[in-house]
Amino acid sequence: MRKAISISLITVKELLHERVFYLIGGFALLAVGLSLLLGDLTYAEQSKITLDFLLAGIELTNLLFSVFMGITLLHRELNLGWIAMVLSKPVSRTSFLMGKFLGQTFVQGLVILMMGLLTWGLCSMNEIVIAPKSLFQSLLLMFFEGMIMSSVVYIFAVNLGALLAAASSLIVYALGNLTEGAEKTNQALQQSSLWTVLKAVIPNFRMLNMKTLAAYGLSIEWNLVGILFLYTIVCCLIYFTAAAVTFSRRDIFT
Amino acid sequence: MNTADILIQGVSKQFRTGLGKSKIGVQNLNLEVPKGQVVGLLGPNGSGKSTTIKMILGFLRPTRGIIWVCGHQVPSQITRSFIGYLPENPRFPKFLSGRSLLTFYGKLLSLSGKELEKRIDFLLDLVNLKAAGDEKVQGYSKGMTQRLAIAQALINKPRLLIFDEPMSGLDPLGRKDIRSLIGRIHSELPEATIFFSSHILEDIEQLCSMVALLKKGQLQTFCTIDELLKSEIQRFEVSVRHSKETEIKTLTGTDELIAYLNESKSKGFLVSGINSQRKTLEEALFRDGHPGIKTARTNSPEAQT
Repeated sequence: MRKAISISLITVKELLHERVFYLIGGFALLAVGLSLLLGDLTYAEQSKITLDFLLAGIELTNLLFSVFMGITLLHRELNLGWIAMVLSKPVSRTSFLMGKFLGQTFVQGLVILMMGLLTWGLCSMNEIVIAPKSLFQSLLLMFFEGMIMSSVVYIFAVNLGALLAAASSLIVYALGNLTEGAEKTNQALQQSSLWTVLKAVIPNFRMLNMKTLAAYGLSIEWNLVGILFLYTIVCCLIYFTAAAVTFSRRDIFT
Repeated sequence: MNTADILIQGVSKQFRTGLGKSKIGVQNLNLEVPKGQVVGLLGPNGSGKSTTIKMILGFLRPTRGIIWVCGHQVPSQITRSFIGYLPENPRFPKFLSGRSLLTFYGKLLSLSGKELEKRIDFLLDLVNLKAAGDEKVQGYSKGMTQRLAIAQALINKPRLLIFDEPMSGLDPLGRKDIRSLIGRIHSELPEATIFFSSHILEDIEQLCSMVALLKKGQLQTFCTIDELLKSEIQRFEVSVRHSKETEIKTLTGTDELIAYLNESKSKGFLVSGINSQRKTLEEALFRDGHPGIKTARTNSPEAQT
């Protein structure tokens, strides 16, 4: 585990060097622009729409971070050959992946936190009342979603080229958001065995989405947050194990 | 108990290159590298040198056969704790300094604290990077990067050093630098086995005690440099003076030499000198024709001008 932590620290430095915090700058600009655009609306409309848009912005940034940073981190190691000097030391490939994952997740958490603080500050400036509990819970669930998404990305990133890995990850994300709704609208799907398999394999991202609740200032029970955390850990373990197993078996040509 | 640091038994590696197509990287390779030797793995591009090294490190899985490193079967983490590896064209994360990279690699080898700091200072000094140790790798030249890569390979005082084309892409001065560095490493770690690949004969001849020649993924020769050169017939240059003129005659083999000396004596010529010429590795290997192996002369920029 100490080796994985050493790798994660280097990963954090690498991501900071990548200027990931420019993302936050971009998000801040978007948020300020949005508040100016929505300034003419009535107070009640402005409050809900601004918060809804900002949370959607955080969710989108979180998704892009998981997909593109995950793929970049692994592909750069493999393509530039940095990995050769790490894996020639007594470090297992699983520890290597774990280190990358932990580092990425840590920075991702920081980015979400900073975007959340920006949202808070902007809403306060515009005298929009925010329920802190619901905002925090919403951000926390986005972080859980980012963790699951990153572990999914790793499965594709260690086995496929960058483009295919990104496309496959985004498809999984879309399916993870659509399965619940599709089932509600089409009862026949429940009878299909293929659908059952798909539901078992694809994570349910819908469960982790409480943007709308947060926009209305509503929160959920902490017990439920705990259950969703457990769900996140189980999903991460399953997807990460799949990534680690395939990565351990593949040839590294670097 | 096997005393070899590297034992390769019947190893083959096939690469899938497309649907139903494959390419042979290494074929039925058997090699036993004894402890404490400097062994050169020689062969033209595409002969399987890097594939062999990557299989030893566990980066590639053999299609057939077994590899043992220091008595442990590959792939395993234990084998890699004995190894110091210098890849061909090493590259490092550019946002870190040489010193912080060495600290990182040291931690991966479970080193820490003062012991690690002292080791890093020693290695930076050894590879002549003490002054540039705190600079970011971004500003390092190719030669400096290569020397840093050698330093990272030495952190754990490895029992087995594996260098993949250590002089690749360097100018003649840089190559000379690395050659003398390898010599210093051998004196710092006299017990260590150094296994390195090259397609430059001069490097192998100057540094190695043994040479393994690979061609099209198959082992052609594995013996000591001395054995390889001794097995060749030596050449002699004989200087003979007659009627105020000196003639230099090149003779092949001792029989020819004796016959010529007898003939000169009977004619009353004066033999003023005999120079025996050992065959070079280049000549020894090119006897059987090994295309693709370069000599240092043809590889150096000066020779091309």
